[in-house]
Amino acid sequence: MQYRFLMGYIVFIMVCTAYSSDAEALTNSQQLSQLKHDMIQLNSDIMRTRMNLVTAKHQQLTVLLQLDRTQNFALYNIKLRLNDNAIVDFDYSDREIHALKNGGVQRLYFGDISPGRHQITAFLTGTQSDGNIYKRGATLKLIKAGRSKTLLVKIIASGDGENAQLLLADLPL
Amino acid sequence: MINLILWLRILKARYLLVISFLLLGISAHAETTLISDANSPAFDQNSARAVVEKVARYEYLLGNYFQSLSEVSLAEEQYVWADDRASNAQQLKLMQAKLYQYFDMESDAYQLYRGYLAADKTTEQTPTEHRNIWLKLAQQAYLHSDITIASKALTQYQRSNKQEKPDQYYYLLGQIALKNNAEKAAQQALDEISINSPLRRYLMLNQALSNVANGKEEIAIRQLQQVTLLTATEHINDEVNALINKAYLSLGYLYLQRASFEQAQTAFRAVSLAVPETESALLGSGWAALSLNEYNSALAMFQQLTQATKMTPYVQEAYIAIPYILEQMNESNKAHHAYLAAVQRFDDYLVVLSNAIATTQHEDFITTWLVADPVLAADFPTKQAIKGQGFSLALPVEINTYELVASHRFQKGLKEHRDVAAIIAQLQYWQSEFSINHRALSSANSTPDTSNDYAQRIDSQLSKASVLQQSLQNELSQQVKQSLMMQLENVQDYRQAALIAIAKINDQVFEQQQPVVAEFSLGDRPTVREFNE
Repeated sequence: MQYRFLMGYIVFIMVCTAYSSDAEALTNSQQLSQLKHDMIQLNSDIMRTRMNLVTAKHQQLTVLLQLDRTQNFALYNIKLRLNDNAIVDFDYSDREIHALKNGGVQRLYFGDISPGRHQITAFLTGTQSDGNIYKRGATLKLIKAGRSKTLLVKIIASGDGENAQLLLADLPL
Repeated sequence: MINLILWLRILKARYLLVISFLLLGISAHAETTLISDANSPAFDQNSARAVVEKVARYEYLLGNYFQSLSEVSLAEEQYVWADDRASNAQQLKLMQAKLYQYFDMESDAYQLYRGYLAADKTTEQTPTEHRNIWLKLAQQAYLHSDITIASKALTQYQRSNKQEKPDQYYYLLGQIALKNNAEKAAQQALDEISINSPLRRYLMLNQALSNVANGKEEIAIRQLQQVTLLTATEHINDEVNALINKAYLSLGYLYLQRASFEQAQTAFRAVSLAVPETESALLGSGWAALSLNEYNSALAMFQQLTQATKMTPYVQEAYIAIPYILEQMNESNKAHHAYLAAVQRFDDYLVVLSNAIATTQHEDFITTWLVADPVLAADFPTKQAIKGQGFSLALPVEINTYELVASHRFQKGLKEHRDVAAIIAQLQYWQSEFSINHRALSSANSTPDTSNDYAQRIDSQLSKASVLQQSLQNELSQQVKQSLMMQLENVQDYRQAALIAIAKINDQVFEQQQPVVAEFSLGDRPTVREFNE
């Protein structure tokens, strides 16, 4: 009967000592890693296909938004109009603002635009640090040729950072 | 009259001026910019690409990690970086490496970190941040038992840091050395860790347990005693307390094995109450008291154990120890009753175990016992796809699952099962999306072949994931079955021992109850020779 106390000891040792995995578990891990790679590739392929499904490549229009880190303007909303048609009306959460202020760039719009002359206007709404509501706008007239186009809406600080300026620019990609 | 008209004009002008000032402060101030369909002077190709890679960063900062990784992949495909060592390309690699690390893809993270930190160009990262990348990767790889990557990451850290290294580095070095049975290297690492660091205690404890496993008990005892010591400036917290408890428990059993019962008692009594080690300490303390013939103390320890709900191995042993002690105290009746009570308790637990084992005969029983952890919406907005929510094992509450669930192998299996389940869910979602949009795909800008290609790819991945899931479930099922069978055998052994003990007591009682018929000694009997004479 005295030997029975060893049971507790053995169980204790089993708990403390690592139980090493065998070769089968290693293989599962490797398979899982490969599967994750495949999923990432598949998702990016699907994203690309989706983009090409929405519109032909030569008609694609992408609008990105970038926020200057130094400005103190609190962005609430951004609106985009393409030839008098509203295409974006986006309200920002704190997390999205944080992402923009820390170097992130938002894909604001992806759609199609026919070749020729067009006008795109961006309006932003926000508040300054003193609580005053602040609105700014910018218009870009562009001539769409036979390739996909990417535009950048950049909100940059002016002066002491209290005021914001809108810059609409063409990204040569 | 003229003055009145003039006055009105002035008033109107002032009114308009006031209105204008008011409007300037709150209304949109439109600015018109004319740009032709040509390169903007503000953005060259590299700057434009730098903006695009930041789309991935936006998703990363929103916590959409899978989406972010896919954006990185997309950016890499679409925009070939003319100079791979360019700052923006390097930042992309760094973010990609961190994302790989988040998704437990340490090997891929290691490769990217190597490429990133080997780049000649200076980046936004400071040298300290460079080094910390290696240390964090080493830690994560070690926790996931990827010792190879952990070792490589530590080597990279050592190469990039000629200054004093933190305790974390030496701790990991020591742990890896222990895994590789390199005792000297482990000791050297231990000597470098600060005196008051909890990591020193961790490593010392693991070193001691390694020495116990290798039969070096004297060394192990010295090391365990050191683990229990507190310096004058050290603060005791839960972490330190847990380590000290483990050390006292180990000491207690070592002393017990060496028949140093009083020292064993002292060690066991030092273990805190209501901690995971308490039951084991009570059991050991009981046996130590019994060995010192302190029957009442021993009984008290074991009876305390039998109050527990879960039939852990310690509780089972206590049930059989109590009647044993009563026998030693010549309390046969009480011992008999205690053995019967033990048998009853074992029978009850055997029913529970048998039912659980019967359930394991079904093919996919493990899926009914793996319960998804509650998902916090804030934590998992779009982090699915290749990293899912956690799972826990939900067996009947009476069954002891501590050793099984605490095992590293089981935890790793659960994690991988979680990720595969998320992958399958994502693939099924894509499958249904493609199925719904099949017609649109066929008639839109993609050819029917394209949509079929994706459908086939998704099907292929789904098939692989399903096979992997089955393999992982089989692995987990095996571990659960083994644990249940081992418990069943233990309980059956104890039950058998109790029945044998009951039978012996019954025999003793029977013998004691038999009447004395005759008494004679062998010397009274005539021998055959004497009889014949």
